[in-house]
Amino acid sequence: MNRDSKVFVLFLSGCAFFLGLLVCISYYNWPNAEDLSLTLIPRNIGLINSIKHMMGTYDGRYFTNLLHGINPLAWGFVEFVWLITPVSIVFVIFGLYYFFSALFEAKRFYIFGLSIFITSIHFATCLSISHQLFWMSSSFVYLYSVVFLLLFLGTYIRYLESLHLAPNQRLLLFSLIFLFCGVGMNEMMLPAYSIFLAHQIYYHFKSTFFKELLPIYFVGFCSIVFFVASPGIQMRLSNDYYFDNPFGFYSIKIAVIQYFQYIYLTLKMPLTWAAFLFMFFLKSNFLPKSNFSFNGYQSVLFLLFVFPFMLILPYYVPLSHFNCFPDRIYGTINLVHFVAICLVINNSKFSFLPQIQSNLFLLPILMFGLALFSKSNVKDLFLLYHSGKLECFKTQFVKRDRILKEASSSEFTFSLVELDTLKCVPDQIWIYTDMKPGTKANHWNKAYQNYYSVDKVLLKDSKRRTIDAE
Amino acid sequence: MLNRLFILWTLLLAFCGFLIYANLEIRAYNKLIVGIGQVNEKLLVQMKDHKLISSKRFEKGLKRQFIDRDPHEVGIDLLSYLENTGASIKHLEKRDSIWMVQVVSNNRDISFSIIEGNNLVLLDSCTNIPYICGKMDSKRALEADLAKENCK
Repeated sequence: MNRDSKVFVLFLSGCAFFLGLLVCISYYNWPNAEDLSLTLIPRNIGLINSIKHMMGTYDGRYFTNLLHGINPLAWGFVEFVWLITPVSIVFVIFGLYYFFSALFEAKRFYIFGLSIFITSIHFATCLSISHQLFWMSSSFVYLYSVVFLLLFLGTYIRYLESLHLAPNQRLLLFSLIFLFCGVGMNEMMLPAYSIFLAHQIYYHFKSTFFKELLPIYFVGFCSIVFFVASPGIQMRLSNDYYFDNPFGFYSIKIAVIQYFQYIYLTLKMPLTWAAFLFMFFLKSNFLPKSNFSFNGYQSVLFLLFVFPFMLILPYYVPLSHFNCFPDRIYGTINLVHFVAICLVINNSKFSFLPQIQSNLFLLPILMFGLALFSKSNVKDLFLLYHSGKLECFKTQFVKRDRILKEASSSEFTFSLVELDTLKCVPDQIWIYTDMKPGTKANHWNKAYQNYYSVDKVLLKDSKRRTIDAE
Repeated sequence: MLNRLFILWTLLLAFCGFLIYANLEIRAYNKLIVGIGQVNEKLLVQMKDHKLISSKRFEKGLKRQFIDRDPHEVGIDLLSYLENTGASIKHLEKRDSIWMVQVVSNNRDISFSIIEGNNLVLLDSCTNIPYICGKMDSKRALEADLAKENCK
């Protein structure tokens, strides 16, 4: 094992520690009321009907809505929802591996290691790890959509390569599947797919194998139109602001400000800079395939700034959401940025400074130190894991689950359940979407009622006498 | 070669046709929901006329539920109300001036009729108890009697 490999293994062990920590934390995670409200629809009216219902009334995310129906929560196994987190981590690593292996000539070990590293650094630096990983229905939208984009691009690149010999039908089929699934996950991805497909049509229009690529463009176009033409998304788009400001200048201004705010917040983390250094260290092990090089300042600008900015535009311009800083969409942008930076660095002509090259072992030590002692999710989650808050958090929900299941299976004609207010809430991993006290029917109370088939669920209010006291 | 391309494009066109069919189906579903929202609005007016709800509550309810809001949202509200009673919409259909709503609740089918005209009542066909404006409070029995009288 040479010195580079030893340093690399040391890095990977740090990444494995962090990913292991994420899995350990996920064991204490519990779905929130929004997860319940989204999964009970497919459970009650069936998968196809739920997609129809959501596309007719709420959004155009046909594939995300499908995922809401195929997970442990929809099948009634609330206690196994935590398994979604390790599955998501493996899925991200696989997506990155599949994508990088299509672009670079390198040993499998290095590509696999790079994928683990990008996954770890993304989760360590993203602004809201709960939206990215721990909140199931949010991760379907904001994390899985990027993975499906990577899977599509990886398959498409392989299919392009196969065209020089003989068209690989299996790759074509998988390209079509990943494209159809990827488009139906998140509005943010629509510009990405539209720009990519438009560029590819322009680029390959006069080539001899254009007709072999046409099915992909056709399916991509149909999927985008299907998404945009659904009444659900059209209802969301038809707000007053959009019609008063069809060009959305104010929205774009806010988008630019918040985009640079996100870049500032990310670059403020020393761990991000250490990650860049590590990517430079890895650079010599990756040889970009000649067909796909990203050198030249236009490519760099496009990958690092223009492309990620286009992904956030659907959130700002047509939907006109700008009341607060949207952590969730910048989680998606964070992963896109790290992949883009990796592509740019591996295609650049810069090499590691000789002084650093001779002190390579300092790099993992620097990285571990920064991860544990500077501002990052690693430090926050490590402290959370040792705080005891997680055990308290899970105990509350296990109790709630037991009470609700007992009430649901009781033989009384009317079941009323009064639950305790949550005392320990780990804000780092759980978005507070929960029932409200009082007798007025709240949306999230109803989610609990419907999921557990209980007539009425109330939250104990400290201001009034409880049923127990009576 | 021709054979392969022919099969491929036949499948792709079938896929495109499926998407068009699915979109039309979703649009029809959306229209039904909007329609139900409009019927719901009429129902509220009717309830006020028959003094099932006070003018104050009517004004408040109408403003909150209908005037300031998109009819689509009102439709979604009614649908979510039906679902929140433990039921889920199975079939929606407009026959002449009557909206037929078939829902599944606790694994049994219930048919609702939303009757347009002089008497607008959302009627549970099994129990004959009207579900008035999405509320099932303690006054339900009284409301049911009044509504039955109005239906005569």
